Amino acid sequence: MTERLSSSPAIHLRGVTKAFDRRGDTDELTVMQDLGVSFRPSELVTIVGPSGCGKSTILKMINGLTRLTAGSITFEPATPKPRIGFVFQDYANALAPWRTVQKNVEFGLEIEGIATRSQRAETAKKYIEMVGLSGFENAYPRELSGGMQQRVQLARVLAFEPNVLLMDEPFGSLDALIRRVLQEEIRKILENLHRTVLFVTHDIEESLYLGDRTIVLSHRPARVLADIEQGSRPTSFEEFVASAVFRERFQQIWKLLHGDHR
Amino acid sequence: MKGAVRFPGLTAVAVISVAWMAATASGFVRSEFIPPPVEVFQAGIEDWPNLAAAAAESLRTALVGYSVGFAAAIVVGMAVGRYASIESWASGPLDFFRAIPAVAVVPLALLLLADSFLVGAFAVFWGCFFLAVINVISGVRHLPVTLQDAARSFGAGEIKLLRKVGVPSLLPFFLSSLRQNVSVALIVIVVAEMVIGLSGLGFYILRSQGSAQFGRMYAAIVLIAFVGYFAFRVLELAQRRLFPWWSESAPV
Repeated sequence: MTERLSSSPAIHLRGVTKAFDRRGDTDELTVMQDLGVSFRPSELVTIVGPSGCGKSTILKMINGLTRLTAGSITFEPATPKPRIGFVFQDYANALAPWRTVQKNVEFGLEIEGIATRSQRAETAKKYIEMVGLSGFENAYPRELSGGMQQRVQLARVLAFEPNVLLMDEPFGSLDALIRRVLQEEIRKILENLHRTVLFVTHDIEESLYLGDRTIVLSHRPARVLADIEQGSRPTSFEEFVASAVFRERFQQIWKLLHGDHR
Repeated sequence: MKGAVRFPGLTAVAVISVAWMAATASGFVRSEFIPPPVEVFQAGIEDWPNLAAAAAESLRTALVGYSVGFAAAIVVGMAVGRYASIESWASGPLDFFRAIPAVAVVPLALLLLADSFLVGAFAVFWGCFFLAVINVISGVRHLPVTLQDAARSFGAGEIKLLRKVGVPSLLPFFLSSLRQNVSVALIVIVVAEMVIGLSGLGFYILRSQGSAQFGRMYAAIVLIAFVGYFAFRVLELAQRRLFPWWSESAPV
């Protein structure tokens, strides 16, 4: 199993175009036009951009929930087929209300249908512990707070043991305090996993703090406004946000997004 | 809460019974048309073999129509709710036939089926099917989108999607629809039996009224109320036991 985990693919987007049909309207809504960008193996890339620019659409196209209008998305290596985990922003509706925490975390493995019942239970237990939910195995989602529900979703996706992790504004609906706590935890978890992670957010601070690399997208049709290599990972949040590097990058992104919006 | 009544439901029934007794004893209502509860109870006991047989007949007929109607509603409702192409064909006929009251199909069914059991069951089927199918369709339409996406992202195809997301999220929905249908089934079977005029509780009520045996008539009515009440309670209990996570107010 470790063999599979150790290899994460690179992802290449070439000439990706996405247009949505608008009902009762003759023209289409083009959210993406000829977008080209690559993600390296085991890299944590944060994607930041104005709302409606198609950030989430990129993730949905990568795991096949949405079709491309034109262009291609390839994985390198292409085989074995990458295991892709998806974390939704809307945690409340992403979980099955009829399943306990334990069973929700087993959901992905159950659908895959390879692991035995006891293997599933064991794997789930491990990741429930990892996200700090031990003792809540038998609780139902509606009995949990928003932050805890999102932890369940994280455990569920981690239990699937993906080598590509797509996170669609995972902390976007949580309050600031919980968001900070979960940012720290997800950093620790991801640091040890070495997966290719795409993390979409509209929070500039979050994008800079979490990413090895931050990609700034424009208003639609989305194009890459900036591709910032972050260099070494910041050690502490407080020091990082007080640093000159952070302020400089923050202002750079802010100007790009602000200027772009007008 | 201090001073709260322990069993408000039972107490309310007791209050109604006492009011009924008082109304008949005081001569406020003419007691030959509305006999006191004790007389109704006695009449029911006296004619118990006939009453029980009539009730058994009604229940058997209603249960068959109700079950078949519900099973058909699940199949049709899921197909119509899920596939736009099926819906475009089925929604017209469904809306058209739905408008026909279950009791209105009885005379036609009598001509075609010529069997009181089949006619009764068919009427109940008609009533339950059209009510349940609407419920099932709306349940299928409101399947959680994000959860379906999550299942797909783990590689679920249509069959697994149905098994792991569709059925479990619809089950409690079905059960509450089953509960609503209890009253529909009872209404339809009683009225159908009155129209058919051969057997069952509906016929029993009509015959008792015709022969001025009002005690028996009320005994049958009260018996129907009890049957409905228990069916309702059992289904409610089943829902709470089987689906502890479900709450009526929660979005499906």
